[in-house]
Amino acid sequence: MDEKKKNERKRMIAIHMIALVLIVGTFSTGAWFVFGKIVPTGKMRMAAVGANYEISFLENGQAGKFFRDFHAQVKDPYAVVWLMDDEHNVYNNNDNEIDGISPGACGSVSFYVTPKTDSVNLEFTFEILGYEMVRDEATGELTQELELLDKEEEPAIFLNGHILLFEGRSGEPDHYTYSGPVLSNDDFERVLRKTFPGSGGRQPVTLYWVWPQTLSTLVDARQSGDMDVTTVPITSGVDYENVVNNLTEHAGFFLKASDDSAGNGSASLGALTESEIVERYRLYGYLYDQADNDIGMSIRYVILKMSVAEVVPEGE
Amino acid sequence: MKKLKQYFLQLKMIRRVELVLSILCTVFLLVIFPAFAWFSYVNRMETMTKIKEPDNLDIKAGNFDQIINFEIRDVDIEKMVETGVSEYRVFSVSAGDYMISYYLQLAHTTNIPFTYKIYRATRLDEAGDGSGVTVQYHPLDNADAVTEYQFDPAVDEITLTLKNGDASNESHFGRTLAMRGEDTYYKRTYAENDDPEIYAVPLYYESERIIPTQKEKGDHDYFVLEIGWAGSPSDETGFKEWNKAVNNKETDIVLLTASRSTN
Repeated sequence: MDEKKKNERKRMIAIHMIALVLIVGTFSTGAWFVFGKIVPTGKMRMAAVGANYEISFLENGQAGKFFRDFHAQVKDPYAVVWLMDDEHNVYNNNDNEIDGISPGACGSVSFYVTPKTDSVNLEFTFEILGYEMVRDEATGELTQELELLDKEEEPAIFLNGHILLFEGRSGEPDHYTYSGPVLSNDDFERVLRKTFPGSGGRQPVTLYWVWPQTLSTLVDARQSGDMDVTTVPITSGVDYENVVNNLTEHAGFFLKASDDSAGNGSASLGALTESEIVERYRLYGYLYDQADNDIGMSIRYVILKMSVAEVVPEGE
Repeated sequence: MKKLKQYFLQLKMIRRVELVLSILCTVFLLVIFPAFAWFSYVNRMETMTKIKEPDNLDIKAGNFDQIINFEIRDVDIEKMVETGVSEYRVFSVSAGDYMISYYLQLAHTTNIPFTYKIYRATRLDEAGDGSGVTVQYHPLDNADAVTEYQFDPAVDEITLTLKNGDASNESHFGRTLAMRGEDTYYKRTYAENDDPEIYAVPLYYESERIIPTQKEKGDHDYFVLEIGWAGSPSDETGFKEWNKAVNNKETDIVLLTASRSTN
C-alpha cells in the first residue's frame, strides 16, 4: 500500500514538472518576441507597449556608433536605452562634438507612437537627471563609478532650467526659434500630453532640447540699462511668457542664489519679476552663468528619461 | 499522454480537484509576475550624454606667458613727456575652446595722472605687416627673447566706458577722480564707515563686448595697454603742478580683468 502511495506521489511530481517546463518555455519565447521585435521597416525598435498604443524608436543602424558605455553604466535597469540615429539623440549637439554638451548646445530626440484604437491619449513625463563621478574615499582620485545626484538640490536642480525641451523649432541653426515649451514643474518633471488618432498609423514625436547660452536667450533684456544686450530670445509670444513665468516661479531652476558674489548687490530669487531681471541684467545674467558653471563643474553625465502612460483626456 | 490520462481518470475526485487547482495556481503565478515585470520595464526610455567641463577664461602676459611677466615698473615719466611717446605693455586673453565673448575691465587708483588705453594687437610673427605702432615684448627672465606686436591706434582701440568718474573735480585736481558717497560702485567697494583717501578710490572701466579671434583652438587674443601722461604740465587748475613730469611719484594699482559675457 505504501509502495503504491509512493508511486502515485512520483507521478504527481512528474506531472507538475512537465507543466512547469511547458509554461516557462512558452513565456520565455513570448518575452523574447516582445523585446526583440523588429517592425517591418527593419530600423525600428519597440520600446513601450500599452493596451492601446505602442512606442517605438529608431534603432541604431550604425554599428553601435551612438551606444556608449555610459548608457550601460548608469541606466535605469527598468528602462529601455533610447537609441537614436545621428540626428536624434542627446549628443547631436550643434557643435558636432561627441564628447559632451555645453551651454549653447541643442539637438532633438524622437520616437514614434502607434495607436491601436481610434484615439489614444498619452502622458509623457520627462526628467533630466545628473550624475557625478565618484571619488575613491581612500585616495581621493576619481573613479569610473557614477552616482545619481539629488534632483532637488544644486547642481542637479539647475538641469530643470538650463536644458529645456520644446515641441517645435524653426529657423536656422544659429537663430533657432522654439515653440511649445515642456517645462519643469514642482516635481522636477516635464509633462506633455498628446492625443494620437488611430487613423494616423505610426506617428513621429520629436522634441527639441536646448541649453541656452545666456539668460538673455530666455528673457528679452535688450531694453536693459544695466548692460548692452543685443540677444534676441529663442521664444516669442505665449511661449516666451510661459518660459519667463516658469523662470520667475522656479528661479532656483535657472539661477544660482547669491548674496553678493558678483559684486553686484544681493539678489532675491523669491519674488523675481521679468522687469527686475531686465533692470539688473548684469547680476541675474551672472547668476545664470554661475548655475551653468556649477553644472559643468559637478555633473559629468545627464540622462533624459521618458515614461509614458495612457490617460483620460482632459474634460472627461 | 495515454498513461497520464489513465492515471488522471483513476484518481479519486478529490485528488483530481487538487491536481487541477495546483496546476492552475502554478500557471497563475507564472502569468502574473512576468507580465508585471514586463510592464514596469518597457514604459520608460532614456538617453544619456556627457557634460563638458567649463572652459577657462585666462588673462596672461604677452605670448600667453605667465602673468608675472606683465609688469608696469620703471616707467620713465620725464622721458615720456619729453618725447611724447607712451609706454606699452602686452597682455593676452584666452577665451578657451568654447570661444565665448568677453569683456575687459580696467580699474586703477589715481595717485599718478597716468592715462590708460587698450588696443587689440597682432603678433607680428603671425600676420602683422609692420604698419601702425610696433611694441616689443620679452619675458622677464629672457631679455633676448623678443616678440613684436603691432596695432593701429585709429582702428584697434578698445572702447572703455568709465563707470564711476566724477568730472566735477577736474577743475581743481586737473583730472577725473572716482565718485564717492552714494555712488553704486563706491558702496559696493567700501563699507559704510570706511574713509579712503581720494586717490585710492579706483576708477572702473569696462570695454565693449569682445568677440574672440577665430583662430585655432588654444590660440589667444592679444592686447596692448598704453600708459600715457595726462596732458601738458599746467597750472591752470587750483591744484598746482598736478601733472608735473617727475619720476619720484607714488604708487598706483592697476587691475586688468577679463569677464565672460553674459548677454
